[in-house]
Amino acid sequence: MIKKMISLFSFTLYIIFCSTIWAANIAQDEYVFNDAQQQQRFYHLLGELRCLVCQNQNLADSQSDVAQDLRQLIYKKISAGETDKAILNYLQERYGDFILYRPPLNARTLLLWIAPLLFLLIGASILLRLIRR
Amino acid sequence: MIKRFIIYGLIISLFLGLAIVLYRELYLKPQFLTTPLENHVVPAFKLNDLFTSEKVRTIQDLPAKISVINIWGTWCNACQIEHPVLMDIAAEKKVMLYGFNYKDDPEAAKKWLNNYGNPYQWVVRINGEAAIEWGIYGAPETYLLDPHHVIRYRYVGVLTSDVWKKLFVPKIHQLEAAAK
Repeated sequence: MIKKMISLFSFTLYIIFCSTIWAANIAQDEYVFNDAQQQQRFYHLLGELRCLVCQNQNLADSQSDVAQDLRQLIYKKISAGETDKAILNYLQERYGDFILYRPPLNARTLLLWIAPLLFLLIGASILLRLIRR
Repeated sequence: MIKRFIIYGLIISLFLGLAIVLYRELYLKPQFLTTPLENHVVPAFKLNDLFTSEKVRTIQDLPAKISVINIWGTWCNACQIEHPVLMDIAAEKKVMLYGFNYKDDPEAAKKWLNNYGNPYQWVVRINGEAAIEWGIYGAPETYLLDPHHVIRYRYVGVLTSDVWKKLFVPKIHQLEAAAK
């Protein structure tokens, strides 16, 4: 049991370690901003957006051509003073919800959003039943 | 007894439901995106012609007819596969084809069209930024436009003659019927 927990723990650490490497993957000095806040917004947005070619990478990780173009465009838009919301809207209008890592809450995604709550309720009711017995 | 029946039934149906959803998911191809620009007029564009680079093409250069815009590049292997199909479609002369040469070397592109034939009414060069305006994310991609320049369909991937017959031709017939 303890052995299992240790291996699970080290696996989790490994995943966290890997993700920090990925995030640091793109050249930092490629994009120069006027202030630190813009830079922070830039990297935050890249993490929120999916690369359309390589699928399970975000725009910060991907080295695909399209991802580079999208990074360049986002850089331009942030430097021009556009808000995060405007930039996300712009991309969503052209690439659909798929480009967003956080799916918006609407009729199509409602089940997706409430499923965790649903499963929690089912689990809790089973647990309650077992305890009462 | 009945209660137990209901509980087991619920658990089994939950499991089956999940299994069906996940099984379906195995065969979905989310990388071939439909475009949210479907049923919208094409984005405004101003792109330079491939052959006479000082000539700028805009929406005015698309006649008020059903037309097909094909995104391609010489760097794209799949484009080579679909090229003969485009030549066939052009030879039929039912719909006009227009080419967007995507992120390419213009000399290589001209050479390609001279070697393999030119199925397009005109070809323009499009860079990465202009392509984002259209929601383009690779090549080949093929757009079907109605006479009012509204995007009716976008296909991502190799346009085989099968894809053309099954996905494009019925839509073209529909558009023709609607125009009458």
